[in-house]
Amino acid sequence: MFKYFGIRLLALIPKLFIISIIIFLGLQLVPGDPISRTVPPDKLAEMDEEKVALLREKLGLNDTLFERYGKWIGDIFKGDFGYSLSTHGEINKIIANRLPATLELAAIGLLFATIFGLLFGFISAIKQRTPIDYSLTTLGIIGISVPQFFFGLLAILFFGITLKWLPVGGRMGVGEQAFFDRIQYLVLPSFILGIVYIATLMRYTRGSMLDVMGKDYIKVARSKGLSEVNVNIKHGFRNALIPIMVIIIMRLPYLVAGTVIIETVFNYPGMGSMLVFAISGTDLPIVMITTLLIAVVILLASFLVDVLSALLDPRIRLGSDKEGA
Amino acid sequence: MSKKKYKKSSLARRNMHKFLANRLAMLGLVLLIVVIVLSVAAPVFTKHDPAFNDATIRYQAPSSEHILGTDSIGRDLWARLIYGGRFSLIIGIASAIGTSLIGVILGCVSGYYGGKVDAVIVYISEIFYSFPQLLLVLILVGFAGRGWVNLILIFSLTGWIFGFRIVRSKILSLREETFVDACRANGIGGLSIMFRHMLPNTLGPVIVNLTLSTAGFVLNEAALSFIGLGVEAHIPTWGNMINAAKSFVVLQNYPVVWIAPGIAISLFVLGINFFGDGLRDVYDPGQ
Amino acid sequence: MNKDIVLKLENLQTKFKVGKRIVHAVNDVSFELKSGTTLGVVGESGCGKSVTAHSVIQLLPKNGMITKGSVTYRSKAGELMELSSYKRNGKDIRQIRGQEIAMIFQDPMASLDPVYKIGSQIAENLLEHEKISKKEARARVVKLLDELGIPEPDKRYDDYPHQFSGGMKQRVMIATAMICNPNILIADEPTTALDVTIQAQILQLMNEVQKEHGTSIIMITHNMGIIAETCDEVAVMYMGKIVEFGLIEQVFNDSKHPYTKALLKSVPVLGLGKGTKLESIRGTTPDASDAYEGCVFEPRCDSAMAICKSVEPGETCLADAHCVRCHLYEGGSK
Repeated sequence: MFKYFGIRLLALIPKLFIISIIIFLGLQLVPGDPISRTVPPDKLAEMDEEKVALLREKLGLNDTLFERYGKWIGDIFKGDFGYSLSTHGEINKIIANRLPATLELAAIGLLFATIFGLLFGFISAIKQRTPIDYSLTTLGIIGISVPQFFFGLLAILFFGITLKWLPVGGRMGVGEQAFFDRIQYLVLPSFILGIVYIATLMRYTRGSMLDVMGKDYIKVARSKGLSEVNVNIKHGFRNALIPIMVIIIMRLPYLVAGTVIIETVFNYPGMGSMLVFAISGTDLPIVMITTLLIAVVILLASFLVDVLSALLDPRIRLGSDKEGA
Repeated sequence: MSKKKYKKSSLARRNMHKFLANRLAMLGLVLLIVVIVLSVAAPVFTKHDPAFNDATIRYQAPSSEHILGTDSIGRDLWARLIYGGRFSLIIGIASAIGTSLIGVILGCVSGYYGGKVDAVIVYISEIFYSFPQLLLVLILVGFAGRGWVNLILIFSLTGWIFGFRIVRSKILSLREETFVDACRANGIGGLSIMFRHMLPNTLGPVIVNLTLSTAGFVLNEAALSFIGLGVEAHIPTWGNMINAAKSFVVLQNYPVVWIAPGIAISLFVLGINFFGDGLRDVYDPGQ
Repeated sequence: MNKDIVLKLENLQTKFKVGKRIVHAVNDVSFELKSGTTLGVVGESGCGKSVTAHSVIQLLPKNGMITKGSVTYRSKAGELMELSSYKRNGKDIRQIRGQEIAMIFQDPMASLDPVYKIGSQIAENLLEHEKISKKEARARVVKLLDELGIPEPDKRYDDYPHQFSGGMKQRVMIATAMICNPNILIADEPTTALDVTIQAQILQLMNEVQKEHGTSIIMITHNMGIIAETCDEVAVMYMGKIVEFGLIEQVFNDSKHPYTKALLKSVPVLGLGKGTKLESIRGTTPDASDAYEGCVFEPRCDSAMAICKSVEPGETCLADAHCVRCHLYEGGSK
């Protein structure tokens, strides 16, 4: 089994390499002289040619593509992500500051969405072709049709402004306040972040459950005299879960992508709003690093899919080499 | 021959009946028609110019003169809403057609020729697939800059994977069918087999995908314009109109300004999703 | 109800709702199952034989329900129970399932849950019905697996279904059904999905189990050969009705109903002369949702008379318990 995981893990390296090259090359194609974004225009006007050339040299803008890529990837491995072009701060410090916020938001959103997505999908399947099933399915379509940010704005207006139950945005850092003070900043964004995910998971869970409930072993379970709860959960849901786990992880990047919008709506100081800011200001190094980080997360997620499906499914875990024994 | 024709029409009629019986799909169709008619025939439904601003009538409440009132610089909201639909629809539909074209061509080539060509295209598609489209789009907008033409190009470049997968798998299974062998035996060329004999068999799922992806692109356009990285600020699109809600004053005091376009997007996308689901039930009931 | 009768079906009717149509899957079926014997139910696919068996323990899909008649069962303790009056999937019927009446199904490959160990799936039945520890349950399962001819049962207990072959899986299914030592075993086409050589082994095994435990068996099959080999009595079903019922010798050697006769003629028998043609039954089974008048077999029957078109034949009992639904035999003639 470990050999299997090892191979899967090694297979990630070439993919990561290709992605890093694409990101690097892509960013080289940006029109305009990067130096003009490094130095304020008035200062640049004061500088003579020599000084500008010196600065270029210093920033490594004159090296060959190959050299620049080597330097870039080498620095990243050393944990040195370079400097932001707009705020001139160290990127690793900015990220260290922002990443926990996004992780917190995504984790709570994921938890919340997984619970409700699986629950609604399960109920919908068990109550197939009843009004409950039809309403949940219709709600699911509404969930993927209304723009996330519009849900977010409505939530701010309703819960934040009209009812004043929850703050309208922002975030409190760890240690600043008691847990309960902090969590209220997360309720709305994580809830809204999860809506699309709930709808997607619900759909898959329902389909997967219906698929499993039609299998012969479900009939066998009933013929043993097991209770409906037992049949539905122990044999039905447990088997339905295998493809759903894969979907949960495979769709994780979409949840992460959602933070870009949600963080902007709620003025939440995470990676997403940072990325939007960096793109608006053509802050290349930040965009590069963020994209690479996301790629790493996505590739790890695909690896996790393999691990999880192996853990959940004995057919994959043990292989079918003993077939016919 | 005549018998075959009769059969075909009866299948089409049965599908039609199936579709008409699906109440949600019909509701979707009605929503779509309403939104499209309002946008396309916008001048019929308002006498105001969406770009004309009159600073003396900022933030007016809905009245008989201005059905939905006016915005922060005194433009008529109803006019902006229905004219704005035009751009949102053009971007959505053009991008959906663009992605489908790329997807269909690559899918045909990949599925028909197989081998190394297939392996390379599939590998690229997998890398694209593992990235959420919104992120790819964001990064590309960072390079290319905002603007509605850029958006259509970027959407088309990043969204082809779904159409590609559908067409490729269909072509792969069709390749094994006898009629393709028969074509080959008759000396018909590869391109002709691909596009004239195999492609028509994949059109059903492709059309469903095209319909549903229009919804996705309208949503993406709105999201990008909302965060200020979408269509040029002066063009009225639904996303740009909601962008006004980034100002807390508007968010709190003038909800009509952003709720109206929000509802417009929601209804349109809802219409597509209901309609597309109905289409899918008809085209591939297995899904 | 006679002491040696364990199960009695009276005028059982089961309907399915398919869209807006009602399908009569089982229509007015009555029979008795004697203790320790095997009753065969035979017929073409779609004749309602499986549904009849599933109706006994109410193992019907959501759109199916018993609409008329009764199923009476004599429990291990000698109590009479009316199974058809129990709530579907309710507590009462669940105590019968697995413990008193167990079932094995057609496709052993699909009958085992892929994510649980073989042993625990057998033990699940035991733990549901008896208050014993997991350790005791394991010991009993291993013992039964051994009896059923599974090598290294203690080791194989912890294997997963995908590590078993088809024949082995069906042995596991028999173990699952027999672990609580049920009164009745319903076997729904137990060998259809297996290789011919394995089929014989499985039938032999069921025979041994019956001798050992005194279990009554309902054997559902479309295969006349299996019926001949394993059953004491046989019910021939057509379109949701039993058209002929009798002892195995009566039905095979002195078949009365034209359908039974046709069915027997369509089976290849060892020693059949080279030039003999196997006959097929003309026409196909009609749609069970269509309303009909007269005899259901009339459109395909070679001996059809005028009366067959309009009047439905009642049950005529000829010799001792040999009954047939056909106008040819009404009024005691022949």
